[in-house]
Amino acid sequence: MDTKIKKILVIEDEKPLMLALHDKLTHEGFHILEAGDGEEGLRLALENHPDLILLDIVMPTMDGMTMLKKLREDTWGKTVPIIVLTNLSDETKITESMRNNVYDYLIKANWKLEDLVQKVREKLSQ
Amino acid sequence: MEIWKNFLYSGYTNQKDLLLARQLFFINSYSVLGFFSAVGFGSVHLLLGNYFIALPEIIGGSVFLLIVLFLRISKHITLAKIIIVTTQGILLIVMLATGGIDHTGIYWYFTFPVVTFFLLGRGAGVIALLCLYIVTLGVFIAGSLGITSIAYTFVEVRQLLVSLLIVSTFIYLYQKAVDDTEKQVRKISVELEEYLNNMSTFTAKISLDGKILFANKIAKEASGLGEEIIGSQFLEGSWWSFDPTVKKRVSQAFREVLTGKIVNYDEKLQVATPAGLRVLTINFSMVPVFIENKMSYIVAEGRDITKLKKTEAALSEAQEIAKIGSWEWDITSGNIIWSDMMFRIMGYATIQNPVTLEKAMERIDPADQKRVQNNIQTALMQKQPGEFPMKGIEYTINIPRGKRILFGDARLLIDSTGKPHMMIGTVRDITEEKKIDRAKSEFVALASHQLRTPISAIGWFSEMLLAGDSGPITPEQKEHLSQIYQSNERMASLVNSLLNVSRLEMGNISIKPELVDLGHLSHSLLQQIIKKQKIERNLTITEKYDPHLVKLNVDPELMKVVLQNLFSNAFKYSPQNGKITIAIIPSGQKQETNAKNSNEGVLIQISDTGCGIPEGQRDKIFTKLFRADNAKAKEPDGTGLGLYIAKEILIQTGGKIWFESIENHGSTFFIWLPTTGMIGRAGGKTLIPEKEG
Repeated sequence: MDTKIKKILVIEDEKPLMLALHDKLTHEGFHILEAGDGEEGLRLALENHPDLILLDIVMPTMDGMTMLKKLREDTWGKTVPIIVLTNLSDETKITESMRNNVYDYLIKANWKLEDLVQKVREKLSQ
Repeated sequence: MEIWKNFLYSGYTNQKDLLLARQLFFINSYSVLGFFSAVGFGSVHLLLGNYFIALPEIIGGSVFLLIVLFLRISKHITLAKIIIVTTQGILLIVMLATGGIDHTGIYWYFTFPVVTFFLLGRGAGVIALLCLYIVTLGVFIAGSLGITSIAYTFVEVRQLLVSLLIVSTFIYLYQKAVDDTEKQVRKISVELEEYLNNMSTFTAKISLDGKILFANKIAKEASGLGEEIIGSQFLEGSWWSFDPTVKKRVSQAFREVLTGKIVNYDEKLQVATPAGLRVLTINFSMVPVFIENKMSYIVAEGRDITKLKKTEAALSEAQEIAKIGSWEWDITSGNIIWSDMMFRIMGYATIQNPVTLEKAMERIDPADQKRVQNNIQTALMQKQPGEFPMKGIEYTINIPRGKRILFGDARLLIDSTGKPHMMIGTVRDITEEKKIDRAKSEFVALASHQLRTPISAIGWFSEMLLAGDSGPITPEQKEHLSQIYQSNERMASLVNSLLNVSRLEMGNISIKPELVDLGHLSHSLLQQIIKKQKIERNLTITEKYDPHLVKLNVDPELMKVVLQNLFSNAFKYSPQNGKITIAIIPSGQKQETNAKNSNEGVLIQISDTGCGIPEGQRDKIFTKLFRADNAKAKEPDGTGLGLYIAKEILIQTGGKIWFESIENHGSTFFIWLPTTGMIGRAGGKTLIPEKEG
C-alpha cells in the first residue's frame, strides 16, 4: 500500500471553488497545489509532477484545453491522470478531452464533493 | 365585273338582306332585259313600219329604264315592286283582250306568279294572283257578252287558268321552301350573333389582309367606334396603336399567324369604358381558319386577365415579403416552374422557366444532396391517390452570396390510378433565423455556464458544513443548511433543464440509437429514484415487463431523460401508500402518416395514484415551465420542464406521448415508440441527464 501523501494539482480560476476543493481535499488527506490559470498550471505540473490533476476549462490567459494539449506533449505529461472539472456542457470539449486521454469529464454543479473525492481515490488506486 | 355587279344590285353592298339583294338583282336584270328586248323589237317594227306595235314596245322599254333609274336613285324598292306588278297585271289583261303579237298574249300569264311571289312574297302574291284570276274571268265574261273584245276562246282561257294554277302552286311551294330555309338560316345567324355578342371575351373575324370582318358586341364597345370598326384595319386600331411596342408585337404576331401558326401570348389592350380609356392585360390569341385546306380568315380572341395578373403580382409580392419561394414540378412532363422569389432565394438573377431537375438540385450543398433526393424518392413511392404531405427538411445551398440554410416543404399529388403526377412545394430562407437560434443557444450556454459557478460554490460549501468538515453543527443549523443545499440542488437541476430545452429547441440534438433492453433500463432507473427518495411514503411499485419484448433501437441517454422525467413525476405526486405501476408491452398501434410500414411498436405505461391533472389544465401540461396548481401545492420542487422535454424528445425521435388522468385519482402516461425504434440523427448536441449522484 502506497502510504505517501498524494499530490493533487487543482487548476481553477474561480476563487470560491478553489477554496472548497482545497479545503475538502486537504481534509481528505491530500496535498494540494493550486493554479489560477492554464499557464500557471502547466508550469506547476511540469515542475512538481503531481499524482493527479483536476483541470477547469474556462480560464483566462490559457484555457484548460490548450493546457491539456501542451501537457500531453511532455513525456511525463502524457501519462498523468487528469480529471476535467468544468461547468461547460459542450460535446466538442468532451470529445477533445477524451481524445487527449482524460480520465473523466465532470460538471461541477452536478457533482457533490464527496462523490468527487470518491472518483479521485478511485483513480489514484489504479 | 364589279361595276356590272354594282349596277345590278343598285349599289346595295350590305350582305345582310340576301332576299332584298336578290330582288334588286331580279328587278334590275328583268328591267334591263325588258328594256333591250322591248326597244330592240320596237326598233325592228319601227323599221318595218309597224308603228302600232313599235310605239307601245318602245314606251314599255322606256318604263323599264325608268324603273332601274328610279331604284338606283331612291331605293324605294316597295314602290318599284308595286309598279312592276301592277304594270305586269295591266299588260296581261291587255294581252288577253287583244291577243298580243300573233295570238301569243296569254303566254305572258305564266310570268305573273313568278314575279309576284318572288317580289311580293307568298301572302301578297296569292292575293295578286286571285285579283288576276278575278279580272281575267271578268274580262272573259265581258268579252263573251260583247262588252269588251277578247282574243281567246273559252277553252283557251280555261286551259290557261288551270295550268296557271298548277304553275302557281308549284311556285308557291317552292317559294315557301326557300322562305323557310331562309328563316332558319337567319335564325341560326341571329342566334350565333347573340351568342358571340354575349361572350365576355373580345372576339373578331379578321380577313387575311387585316380587315375586321366581324366583331362581337364587347369588342365593338371596347373599340369606342361601335359598328364602325367593321371593315377597318385590325392592326391599325387605337386599341393597339396607343403603344408603339404593342402595335409592333401584334403586327409581328399577325405575320406569324399568316404562316399558319396559332399565336397565343399576353398582351396589353386599350379599351374604352364608361370611365374613360383603360389599358388591360389580355391573353391574346389569333388562330388561322382553314376552309377546304385554304386559309380563309383569322379568328382573334382576347381574354381579360388583368385581375389574374394583379393576383399573381400580389402573390409574388407576398412571397417577397415573407421571403418564401414556391415551385411546382409536373412529374409527367418533367418541367419545374419556379416563382420569381424562388429564383431570388436560389441566387439566380434571371427568371427563366421551366427549370430542369438538374438546375433545381445543382446549388444544394453536396452534403445534403442525398438527403433531399431521399426525401423526394420516398414520396414518389407513394401509391395512394390523393395528396401526400412530405416531411419538411432543412438543407444548405451554395449561392454567390454565400451559404444559405433553407427550409423546404412539399406535397405530392397522386392521380386516381396511383401515379404521382405533380409535386408542389415552398422554400424559405431561414439562415437569419438559424443565426438567431444559434445566438440564443449560445447565450443560454454562456448563461448556464456562468450560473453554475455560484451554484457549485454554494453546493460544495453547504455540503462541507453539513458533513461537519468545518466543525460540529447543531441540529437546527443542520436543518437550515439542508434547506440551502436543497434549494441549490433545485437551481442546478433547473440550469440543466434550461440547457436541455435550448438544445431541443435548436432541433438538432444528436440521436444515436443502439439496441437497448428497455425493461432493464427502466428497472435500473427506478432503483436509482427509490434510493434517492427522502420521504418514506410506503409506495407500492409494480413492474410489468412483457417477456416477449425484444431490445429496441433507442438512444439510451435520451430514453433515460424521458423515463427519469416521467418516473420522477409519478413519485413526486404520489400520496402515502400510493401505487406506481410501470408496464412495457408490445403495441399494435399504427402510425398514421405512412401506410407502407405495418406499424407496431412498444408501449410504456407509467401509472400512479397521485393527485392527477385537473381538467382545465390538461392542454398546458406539456408546455414549458407549466406546473398544474395541485402539483405546485403537493410538491413545491419542480421545474415545469420535465414533460416538455420528454415530449420534444419523443417528437424528434419519431415517438409519441399522451396521458389519461382523473384529478385526485391518479394519472397514466403512455409512451409509444415504433418497432423500428428511434430515428437516428448524427451531429448536434446531447442532452444532460439527471444527476446520478
